[in-house]
Amino acid sequence: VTAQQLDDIETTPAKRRHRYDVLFAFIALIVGLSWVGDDPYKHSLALHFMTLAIIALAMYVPFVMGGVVSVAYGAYVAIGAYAVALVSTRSDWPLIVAFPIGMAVAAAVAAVLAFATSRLSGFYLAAITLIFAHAFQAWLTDNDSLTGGEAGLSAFRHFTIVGITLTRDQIVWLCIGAVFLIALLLSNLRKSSFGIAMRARREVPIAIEAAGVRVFLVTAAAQLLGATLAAVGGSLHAVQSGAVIPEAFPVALVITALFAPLLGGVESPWGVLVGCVLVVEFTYNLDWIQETGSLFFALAIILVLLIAPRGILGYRPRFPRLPAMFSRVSGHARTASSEVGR
Amino acid sequence: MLGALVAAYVTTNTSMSLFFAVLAGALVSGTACVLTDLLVIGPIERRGSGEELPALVAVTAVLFLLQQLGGTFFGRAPLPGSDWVDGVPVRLGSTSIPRQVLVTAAVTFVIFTAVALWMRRTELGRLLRAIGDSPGAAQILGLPVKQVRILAFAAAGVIVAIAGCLFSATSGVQADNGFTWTLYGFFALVVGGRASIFGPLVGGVCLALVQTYAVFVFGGGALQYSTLVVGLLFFVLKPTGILTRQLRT
Repeated sequence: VTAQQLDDIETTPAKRRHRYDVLFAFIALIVGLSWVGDDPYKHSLALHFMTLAIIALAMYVPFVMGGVVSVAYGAYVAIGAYAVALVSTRSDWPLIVAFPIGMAVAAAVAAVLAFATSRLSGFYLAAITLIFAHAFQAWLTDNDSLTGGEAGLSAFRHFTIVGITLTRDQIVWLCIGAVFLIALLLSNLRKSSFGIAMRARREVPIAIEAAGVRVFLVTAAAQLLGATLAAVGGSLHAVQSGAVIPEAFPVALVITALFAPLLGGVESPWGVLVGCVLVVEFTYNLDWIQETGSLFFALAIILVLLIAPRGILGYRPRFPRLPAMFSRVSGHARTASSEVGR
Repeated sequence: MLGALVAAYVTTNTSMSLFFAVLAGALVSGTACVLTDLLVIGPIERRGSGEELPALVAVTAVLFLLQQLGGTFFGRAPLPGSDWVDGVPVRLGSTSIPRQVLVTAAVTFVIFTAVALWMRRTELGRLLRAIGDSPGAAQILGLPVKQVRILAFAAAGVIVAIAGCLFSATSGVQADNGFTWTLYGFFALVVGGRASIFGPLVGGVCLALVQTYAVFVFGGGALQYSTLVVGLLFFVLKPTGILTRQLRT
């Protein structure tokens, strides 16, 4: 399917909704960056949001688009974080090198796990990937000489890009910007031929197999992409916090990330970010419900599943046509992404 | 987890006897199971087209909700479970077995036997098996699918509450145990096989033997590694489990 054909398939209201999503997300990015400022408390909230959002976005392609419930993402995030930790404490290499290393190792581990579990789905896949995440955390704790054991690794070097050392404020901005860029990438990927194959895989896997698309390869590619993005999230977390321990990315965090798109809306990755903002607000920021924030979130998930299964963004109103200039910019971005998807 | 939490909270904070505490735990757990089916799982299953994913998400969401409810009402700190019997350990040759372990084994055997007899010898049990095998056909035949399903969920809630109370006597209980206990229960079911009522018992014994031996030989982390290896072996290579039904060809 060519980019032009995809363009024809897509209806005008859907195109318009996509462009409005990008516009509102860009406005939210600017507002978010100015809100965070240099307040340390807001930095910690931004760190929670970034970690949760990148895990949720990493799970978006396999889980929301493909219906593959793998919950091993705590392990992939940890790989990214420990890549930064090891490069910082055991070598003289610049920290930026840790990002591709973490992504490559996470992708390799995801490939092995995807191959080993290629015949599994549903409850079986969720159970085995959950125990894999537990086993990986136990391995991090057991290997004192490499990972620092329960105490983890800390006191990382400063993060520099092209000779410029970033301050804590700038790293927070970098993290939020990375979340925005990943969401934009996935938003466009969703409409590419790969995204359509992935969504069809969830509904009618046998049909796309009959159409000549290898279901295993598409599924494995989605899991590798998810693992790679999760590793980026882990690396950014380590750079921002300056330390990492095995319990930094518990299964509860991954389960929360699993539910974020259901709350915010499953129809686009921007719904993931809406869900993550609500989670951080409910569980960390609001004083009057801080103790029961997770309970409110759990209740909200059940209510959304029963009453509003499309999530918050699924019920947004129709908007009027955007100016032609913005439509052209968004259209070019999507065409480029479709080419990548192919 | 919920039943064990209720029982542990009642015995720790009131003067109620252990029997009534376990009863309260079983009542709460059974009610939670029935409400889960009536309010969440059932409606979501009816709305879907037989897909497994919505049910999986709903079950995970309910488990997450129950953990948060448990943590909010009973606290996040571990609560101590109570021994069902007191007294010195029983000596069998050179081995010393705590009385609580013997009680746990005995109660487990009684529950499995009772469920097996219920399933095989009673009309309700046969009805339950028929509905489980083919809910659509049972509905067409006019069988009371909804009522039997409620009963099945209530029985499941009571059984897991008793299991939680027995297990918490040795390990304690906290709200975060929900996912791990559910995970091990599911592993025991897959390893043992679904062809027989005694499949989960066989699976549980095998899994516990492997885990205990691995920890004894290789240390604490081996608990998770051995579970992963057993899981991969059975899930991928023998998903029907140890006890399988022989079919004539």
